[in-house]
Amino acid sequence: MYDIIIIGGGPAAISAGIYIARKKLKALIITKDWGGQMAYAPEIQNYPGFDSILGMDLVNKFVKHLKKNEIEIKEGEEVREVGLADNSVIKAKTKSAVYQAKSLIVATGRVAKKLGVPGEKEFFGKGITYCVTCDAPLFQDKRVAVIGRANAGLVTAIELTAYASKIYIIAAGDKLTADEALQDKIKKIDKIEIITNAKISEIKGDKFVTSLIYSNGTEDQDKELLVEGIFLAIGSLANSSFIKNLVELNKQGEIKIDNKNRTSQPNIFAAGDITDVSHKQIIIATGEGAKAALNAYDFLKKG
Amino acid sequence: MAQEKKHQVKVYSTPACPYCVTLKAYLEEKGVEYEHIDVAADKEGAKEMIEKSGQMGVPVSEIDGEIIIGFDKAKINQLLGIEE
Repeated sequence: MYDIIIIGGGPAAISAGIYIARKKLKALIITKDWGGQMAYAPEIQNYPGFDSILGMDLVNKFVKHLKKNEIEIKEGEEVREVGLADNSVIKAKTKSAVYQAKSLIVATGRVAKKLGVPGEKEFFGKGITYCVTCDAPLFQDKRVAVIGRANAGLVTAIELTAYASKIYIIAAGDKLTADEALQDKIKKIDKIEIITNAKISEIKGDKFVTSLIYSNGTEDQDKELLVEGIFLAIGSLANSSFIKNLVELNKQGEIKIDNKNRTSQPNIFAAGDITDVSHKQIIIATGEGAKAALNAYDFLKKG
Repeated sequence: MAQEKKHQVKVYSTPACPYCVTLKAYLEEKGVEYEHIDVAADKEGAKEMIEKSGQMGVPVSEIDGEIIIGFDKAKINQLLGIEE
């Protein structure tokens, strides 16, 4: 039986882990990978101490720092379900084990949204990807489409200019919603073309993606865009489905917390992007993780 | 954890990919020696990875001729005989 289990591997979970380790509790961190969304950021410019750093580099620094502390870690494991025995014992279930604890910090962040069109599942990893920093180099001299009109979409397109021969930005509405600075930047890049009012209906391919089918708002007729790569950047959803039966969520699926990171269940705390905290930022998630850890410690001490 | 027999392990990855980093860190922690192919820098390596795996995404690893897509810890443990 652990005093506390932390689920997640992003900034909130790592920060919580560092704070908990210093309290000498019997603690366990379970995460399927490290960094959360931060790991996918091509460049971070707003984390103090680092004027410009690659997301994955900052993740590595966080993980190295965490591992300097004495805390048990199960990496590469995903918690699929959390149960509660006698209204007090936490049971975190993964594919291979069940871990028990007196308390829990949930910090599993957000996951990328899907398009929900035919071909998306079939061709995932075969031309469709969510991770531009991972997979962009595999699309050297290929035609690609970036789905998404906000900051993430434009950053993805800019990142691809080093590799792809042609980049289409596919926007759902009539204009881009990204920051002006980013919009100005992409206007200067010749190989980027913007397609607005596009409704995507299917992704086609053979062994790999070959094209994208979409229609324009003004015309009903389907159009086929020949691309070998499709980068999805259409936002994210709170990764809370595995715990939705135990804690109260808001309409967006985020875990409701109070100013002490408490959820509706007394021994379950939550931190970072999975919660209803305002603004999803690395600096906020790290602060929330620390706060959740200290409040969980106070809770455990009271017995 | 000592390995009883030597396995042939190859990891295809790119420098900024979260699962690649987690996978490599895991192999290193378990004392598994592997050949690393950075498919961002090595175009032939990238071609080889895509042909062998049918995947346009990293990480891909090869253990004794068997292809593993992503960081599939259970399968990696099974192929390498790692017990946790």
